[in-house]
Amino acid sequence: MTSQGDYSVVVDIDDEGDLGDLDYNPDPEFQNTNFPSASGNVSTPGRKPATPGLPPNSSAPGKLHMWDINFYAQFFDLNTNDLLVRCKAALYPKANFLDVIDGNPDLYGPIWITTTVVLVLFLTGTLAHYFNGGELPGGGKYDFRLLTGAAGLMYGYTFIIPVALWGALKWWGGEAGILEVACLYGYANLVWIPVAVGSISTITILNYVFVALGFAMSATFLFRNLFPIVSSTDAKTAKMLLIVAVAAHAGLAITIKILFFQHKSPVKKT
Amino acid sequence: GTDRRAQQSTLDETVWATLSRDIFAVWAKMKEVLYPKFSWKRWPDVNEVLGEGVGSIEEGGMAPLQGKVGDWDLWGPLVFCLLLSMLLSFAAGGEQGTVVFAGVFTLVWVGEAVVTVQIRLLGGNISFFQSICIIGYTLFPIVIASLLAALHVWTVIRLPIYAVLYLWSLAAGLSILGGSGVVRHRVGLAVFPLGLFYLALITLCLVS
Repeated sequence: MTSQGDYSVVVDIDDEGDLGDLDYNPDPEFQNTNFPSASGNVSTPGRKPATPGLPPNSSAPGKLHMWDINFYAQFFDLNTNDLLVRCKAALYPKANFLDVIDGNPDLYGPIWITTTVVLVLFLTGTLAHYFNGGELPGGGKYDFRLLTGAAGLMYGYTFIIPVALWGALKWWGGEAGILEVACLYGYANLVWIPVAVGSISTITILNYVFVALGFAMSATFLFRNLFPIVSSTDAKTAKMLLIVAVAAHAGLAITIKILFFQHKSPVKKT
Repeated sequence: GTDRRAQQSTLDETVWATLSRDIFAVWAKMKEVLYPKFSWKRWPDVNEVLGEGVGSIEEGGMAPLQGKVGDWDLWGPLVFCLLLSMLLSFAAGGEQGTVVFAGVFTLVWVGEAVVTVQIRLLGGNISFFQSICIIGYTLFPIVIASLLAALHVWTVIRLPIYAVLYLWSLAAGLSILGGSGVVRHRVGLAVFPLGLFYLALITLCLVS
C-alpha cells in the first residue's frame, strides 16, 4: 500500500500501476467518476463515458408495487404507544389531530377501532334487547343480522365517506390526503364504544343522552380537524362540505340508535 | 402415493394406517399448540411468553415443536371450524341456522387470514399457512365453549368457564408470535387483533 499525501490508498496497486477493475487511467485527464452527481458527469470526447450514477429509486433492489404485501407495511408503521397516544387525542381533543399524526397516517387504528366498534355494538345491542325483554321474530335468542348489519354500517361509513370527501375535494380543486381523512374518521369511531356500553341500560332517556353526547364529541372532533383540510378549496365549497359531513355523521348516530338501542321501534318488528 | 411422514410407500397400506397417521399428526399438533407454556402461579407476562416462546421454525427454537408445527396442515383448523360453525348453528335456534353457519365459517377463515396478514404487516416474519394452522388449532377451547352453548348450559355457569377458555385460546395463540420477529414495541398491536378474533367467537357462543 502506498501513501499519498494525507491519506492512504485503500486499493492495492501492482507494479504496472494497474488498479484492476477500477476505471483508472494513468493519463492526466479529468476522470469520470461513478458517483451519482447532481450536475451529471463531464465526459471528454473520445473517451468511454463512465456509467452515470444510479438514480435513487432503483438502487434499492425491490421497488415496491401495489401487489407486494410490503407496500402496505408503510401504513402500519407505528408502535403500541403511538396508537394509544392517538386514541387519547381522539377522545380528549386538545391538539390538532393532524399534528398528532405528524405525517404518518396509519390504517391500523381505523381498521381495528371500527372492527371493535362493530363487535361492541353487536354485543351491547343484543344485551340491551335482552334486558328490555324483547322477543325476536323467529324465536332465536339473538339476531345474527345485527352483526352483519353493524359491520356493513361501520365499515361502509368509515371507509366510503373519506373516499367521497377526497373525491369531492379533488373535484372542487382542493387537496386532501385520503389517508389522513380515513385516519380521522377511523379514530372518531372510538367514541361509540363507551356510548354503546352505556346504552345497555333500560332507561330510555339515557340512551338518547349517550348517543347525543357521542355524536357531539365525535362531530366536534371531525369538524375541527376537517376544517383545515377542506379549506384548501374555496370558502363556499368548504362550508358546504363541512355541513354535508356533519349531516352524514348525524345520520350515523341516528342509525346506531335506531338499529341497536331502540326497544319500541317499529323498525324491529318488520 | 407419497406422504411426507410415511416411512415407506403408502400405496399398499391399509386405509386405517393412512387415516391414523393423519389423525395422530393432528393430535400431536393439538397437544403442542394447546399446552400452555407458562407457569400457572402468576399472570404470564406477554414479553416472557414471547421471549422464550416456542422459537421460530427457521431457527432452533424448541426442538419438539419445531418438528411438529413446522409441518403444518389444515385438517385441524378445518375440523374445528366446521365443528364450531355447526355447534353455533344449532345453538342459534330459530330460523337463522344456515345464516349463522355460513357467517361463522366465513368469520373464522377470514379472521385467521386477516390476523396473519396483520402480523406480517407489523413487521413479523411468519409463514402464512403456518400461522393459519396454529390459529386454527387454538380454536379448540372455543369449540368447547360452543358445545356448552349448544347444550344450553346456564349462562351464569358459562360465564366464568368462557373466561378461562378465552384465556387458554389467547395464551396458545400467543405462541405464533414467539420468534416471529415482531418488534417489542408492537407486541400489543399484534396481540390485539388475535384477542379480538377470539372475543368475537366467544361472544357468539355467549349470546346463544
